[in-house]
Amino acid sequence: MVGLVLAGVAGALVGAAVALWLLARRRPERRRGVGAGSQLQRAILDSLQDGVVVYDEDERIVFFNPAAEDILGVPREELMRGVRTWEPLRADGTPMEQHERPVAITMATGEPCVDVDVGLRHRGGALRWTTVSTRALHERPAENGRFPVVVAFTDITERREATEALERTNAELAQFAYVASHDLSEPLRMVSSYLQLLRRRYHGQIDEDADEFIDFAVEGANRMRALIEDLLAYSRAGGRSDPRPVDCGLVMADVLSSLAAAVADARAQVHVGSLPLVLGDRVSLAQLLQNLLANALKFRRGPGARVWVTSRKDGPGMWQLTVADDGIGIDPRHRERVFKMFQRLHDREAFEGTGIGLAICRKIVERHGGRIWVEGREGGGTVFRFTLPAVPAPAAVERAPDAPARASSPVA
Amino acid sequence: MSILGGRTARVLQVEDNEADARLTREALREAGEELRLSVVSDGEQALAYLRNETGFEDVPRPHLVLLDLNLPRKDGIEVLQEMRADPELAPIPVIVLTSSSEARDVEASYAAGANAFVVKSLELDEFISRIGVIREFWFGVAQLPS
Repeated sequence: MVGLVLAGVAGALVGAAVALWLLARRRPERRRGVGAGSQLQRAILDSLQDGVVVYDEDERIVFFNPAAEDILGVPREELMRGVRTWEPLRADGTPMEQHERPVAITMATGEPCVDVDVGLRHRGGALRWTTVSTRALHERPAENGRFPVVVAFTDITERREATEALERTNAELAQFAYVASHDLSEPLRMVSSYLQLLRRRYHGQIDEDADEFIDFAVEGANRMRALIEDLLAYSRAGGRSDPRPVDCGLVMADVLSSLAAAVADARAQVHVGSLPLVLGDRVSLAQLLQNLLANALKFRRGPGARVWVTSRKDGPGMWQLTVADDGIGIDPRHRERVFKMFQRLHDREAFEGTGIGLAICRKIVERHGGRIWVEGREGGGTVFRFTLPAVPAPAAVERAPDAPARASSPVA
Repeated sequence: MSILGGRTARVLQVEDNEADARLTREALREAGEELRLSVVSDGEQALAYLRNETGFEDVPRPHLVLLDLNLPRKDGIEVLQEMRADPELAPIPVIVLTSSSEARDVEASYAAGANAFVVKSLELDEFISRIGVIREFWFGVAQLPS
């Protein structure tokens, strides 16, 4: 992201430098006065890693720097003769129509283009990815009604390849986790079911050791089952469904009813404030709130836990939601660790769990374009905060078909 | 309860995993009275059994079929489709009994003419109770074709 912003800034600077340099060249009477500056500007353009090309209003190349030769894949002499052998591609890799090219757009309209991803297929077949910015050299069009254009482009091939490789790896990992957990659950069902059958039929009939061994085996199988179920949930979490407006108040009401037994067990008071309409996937958001609430109930100090679920605006276009509790709290040293897979801060005897729940939360929030973090609570306890995208203003009136108006919502 | 007018209720289970088939039998036993449960291990055998073809000449027709989806040679959906297209077999109630809970499997099963879709539970107690409910409903509540 920073790179793109820099590319934009560089594009603007380069455009200004080129404009000055060309201006200097076109006015021989002032050459003496700006000559030194012109040389400096030329040196700057030569040393840039960004490609710079200037077209006149008839789309003839009137200037290019050495980086442009390299990125476009055309040797200097050919470029000087106006040879153009590269084929422009859209960001998705399909061929770009002539009129879609940023140069053509700016030449026709005088409007700048900023950071357009363009692939350049060289005549040898090699592919370079660039981000292209264009601007008109002058405010008014030339006599033919078109604008001369300066183009600045940054080579982002490596960055794009790295991103693609990462996306591929992530997709493969998700697929692996899904297949592994799915295929593991079948044999596990056999192990677990027959162990339970052994216990059901033969408990107290062999000897005490046998009962204990069977209990340990059943317990191990149960833990493995919980892990596999959570792994499956993690690999499914935040799956790419189309984001829709989701009423967090309604989602929270669902979560509270599905956790009613746990709330009663903990003799907990759950205070739910007004929760916003956000853009996202309802099922994932329910899982997110459910995991956080279940955590708050689980890591309580004793009976009578208190939990607060609230929200507030967090900058433009985002909401911040908070799930706070008065439980045992998290040591500041461990506050980043809790979101990692299989991280458990407590031994199994004290608190059950697989250590995947918060990893799932983080995955869901990040898939929604938000972030999640944890703080200590004044007076003891834990505060989980996370951000989610707000529904853009015009869409806010349209509610998801399954979400009735808030007035009738059973927010607890 | 599993007696139909003095005759024992007959169930055909189509299941390729022996341990799984045995588990159903044990679950039925845990759930109470025994049914007469026959097991075949693939889709082609299931149809041969139902049509009294070679190897199954003398078997009586079952009152109910418990059908797994993932089967060798002919899968559960194909078996269902062929049963529903065959006037002799079309009336026999079929319960899909599978470890899948994928929505597309549920829909395909009902579309092909399943009478119920039941997921094999990971929890033995739950599995036993589901098998008990199936038996109670189909042989206690529902009227079956004669």
